[in-house]
Amino acid sequence: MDIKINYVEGIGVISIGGELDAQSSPELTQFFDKQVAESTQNFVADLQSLAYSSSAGIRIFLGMARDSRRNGGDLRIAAVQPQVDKIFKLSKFDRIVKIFPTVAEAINSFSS
Amino acid sequence: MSNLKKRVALVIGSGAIKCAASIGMFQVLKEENIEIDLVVGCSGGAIYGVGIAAGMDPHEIKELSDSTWTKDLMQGYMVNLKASKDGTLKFNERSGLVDDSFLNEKLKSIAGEKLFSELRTPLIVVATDMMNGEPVELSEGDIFNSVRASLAIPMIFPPWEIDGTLLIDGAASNPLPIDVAIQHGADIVLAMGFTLDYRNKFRSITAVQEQMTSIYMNNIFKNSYAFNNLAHHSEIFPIIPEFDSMISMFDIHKMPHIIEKGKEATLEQLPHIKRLLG
Repeated sequence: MDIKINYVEGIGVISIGGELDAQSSPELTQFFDKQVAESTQNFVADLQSLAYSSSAGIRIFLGMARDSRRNGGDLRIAAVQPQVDKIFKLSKFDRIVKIFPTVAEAINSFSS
Repeated sequence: MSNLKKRVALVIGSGAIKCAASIGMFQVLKEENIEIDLVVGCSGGAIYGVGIAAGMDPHEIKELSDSTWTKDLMQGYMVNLKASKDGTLKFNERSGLVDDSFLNEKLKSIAGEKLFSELRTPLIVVATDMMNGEPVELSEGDIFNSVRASLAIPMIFPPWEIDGTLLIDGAASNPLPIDVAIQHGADIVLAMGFTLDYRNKFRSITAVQEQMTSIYMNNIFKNSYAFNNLAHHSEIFPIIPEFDSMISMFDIHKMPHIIEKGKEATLEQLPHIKRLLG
């Protein structure tokens, strides 16, 4: 799995590529925990390059949302691929976290 | 997850004839030598669950399936519906609009006199307590009675009593019983489930009732999946076949398509399943 972060207007845009499942999810958790510890509050998860997410992956995203909200911020999701979108809808994850078609819209949502 | 052998459960949810997609799923799992440690079946899923847990060949299960979903299942429906509306048929908690003799005969041909304890793979069948709405797990005694209870679609088939409890369709309380698999120690859950189709034309109160049933059931399905997803320590692989058109209860001619879609949905998840199984 490939994880990168860059900052736009103080928002951590995390690009996640590859496949997210029970085996790869600890890597994302560790990465995110480090960002939260460094006091970033708001995040956008850019899923343009995420080809697959399992049920374990959903739990990780939920944990990320919960942790960022506890810190006074939020996690928004952007650019979800169709396979991942299916599982997000089945899990009602889209009812818990805001999802946007593009990273730009997700970033802008923090200021609207 | 530890390196101990992962316990794999197959959950087949309610879906009437759509549950035949589990034949396609089973074919893939057999070809890939993926061993199943537990089968959980609800409503139509219970029929196929029996076949799989008994170690039947997919072809045998298909033959039994083909002879089950016929219009004989609904004998007496129209006459009894009319009679219930004009008051000549009195309805109570034990009533159904259909004469269930064909259903019972079919289920006996599938389950025979078999007991749960005689199955090759452990099987749990889910029904619903008619009086308090709670899900009921059935995994002991003879299989016929349990599957008959799980299939007791409210108002259509008469409820079925087991040990003094009046039981109806498992779908009413737990259409995709992943929680049962979790509770019984499954690490990996392969969950085949089906949503109900929505209508876009309404010409009768029955049509509106059917739409409402689809709305309620689909939301129960998703809400329960979402909760189980959060509750589980490991992976749930949702195997949700996508059909090219609406499938109604007696679309036997669509059986090859249903099975093929079950196979496709399983193949989509297969690389990820195999990765986790190591």
